[in-house]
Amino acid sequence: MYYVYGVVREGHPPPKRKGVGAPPADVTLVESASLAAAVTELPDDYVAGEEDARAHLNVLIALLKDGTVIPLRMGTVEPDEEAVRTDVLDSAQAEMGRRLDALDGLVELHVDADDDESESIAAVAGAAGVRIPAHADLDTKLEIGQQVASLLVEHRRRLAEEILAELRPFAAGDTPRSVGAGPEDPVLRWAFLVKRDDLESFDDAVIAVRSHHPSVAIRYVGPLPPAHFVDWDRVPAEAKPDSFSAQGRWSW
Amino acid sequence: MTVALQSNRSPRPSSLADVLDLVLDKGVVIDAYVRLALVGIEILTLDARIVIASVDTYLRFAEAVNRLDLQPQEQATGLPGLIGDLQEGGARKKTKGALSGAANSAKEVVSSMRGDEDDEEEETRSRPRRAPAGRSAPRSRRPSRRREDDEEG
Repeated sequence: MYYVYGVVREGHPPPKRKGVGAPPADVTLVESASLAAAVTELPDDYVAGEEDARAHLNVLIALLKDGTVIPLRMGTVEPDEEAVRTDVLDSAQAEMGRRLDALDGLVELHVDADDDESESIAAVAGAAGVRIPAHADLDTKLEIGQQVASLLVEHRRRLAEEILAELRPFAAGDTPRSVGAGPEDPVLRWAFLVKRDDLESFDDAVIAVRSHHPSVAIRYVGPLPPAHFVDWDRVPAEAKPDSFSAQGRWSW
Repeated sequence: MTVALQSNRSPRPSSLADVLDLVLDKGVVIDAYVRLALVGIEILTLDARIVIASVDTYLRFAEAVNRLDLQPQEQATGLPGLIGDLQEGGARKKTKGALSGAANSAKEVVSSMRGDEDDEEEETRSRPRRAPAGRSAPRSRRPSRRREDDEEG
């Protein structure tokens, strides 16, 4: 059977990287009209594991170096080359082509931000004058803990807004990767869609964020395939508005 | 390349949870596609999602505030309204040393505190917010997720 990683334009150079399989197998391109699918031939009874998940992503990243790629969900397989052509490429030529055009020159970047819980509690509790009375009973402690929790959530929300305000001017779009407003949720887990040409500007903006928030740990990853910006569920799909015009979705 | 070094951009996510989030949760699903068998992976994704704020969390926060109060007067960060954004940074630095041990020992404190008070019938009765014992089960998963993130991330 054929394992499919993603769709690129025909003529895209094959990735210089091994793919899924044990041992990792070669990645080739199956072309049809203006499109090509990156595939690996696997034994029919193959069961994928963690290493294959990493391999899937690595192949997409390698493809991205040479042009635009539409990532497919991990685990997509077709019985043979012909099925790859008909099911993956031909059934959605027009839509895939439009998507490739729309994503041209764009890459995904991830920015994660985490504060130091103890430091943040010290800051918010200090600023709000929260104290624990001597010999506080459990109910009082829980009440104060809840009060601190909501202050902490607000503190992190404000941090996130400050960071987003610094980064958004350099992105073509952005979307949260996970949304949580619990007291143990991190400051930020975000995906940005950035023009490849703007990568250095975005790098500089991340450097600026780091210097403005020295107590916040920033993780910065990319360029990645635009997996968070191809959010149409099924192919072929009816024409939807582009998913990556600046979303500013902010649901806490 | 110099810029890339300064900004510490990593080429790919280091933790498996982040990789799975990208390849299993995202990406185009082809109509009439066949799904490859995956071993061990789906359960792991699910595990990474379980985050529940529990009573223990609130007690840990309260304990952190308590430790704040135990510091010498000149280091206290109280005084509501007087601490602005500019001073906040300074205050954090001062309290950093004193608080660095709080996170590690908070669990001990909490469990000993809960253990003591569980014996007192009166306390238990007047505690509607108390989670049932079953709530602590997901909590035990969280440390393992964090360890993984720390190791690989």
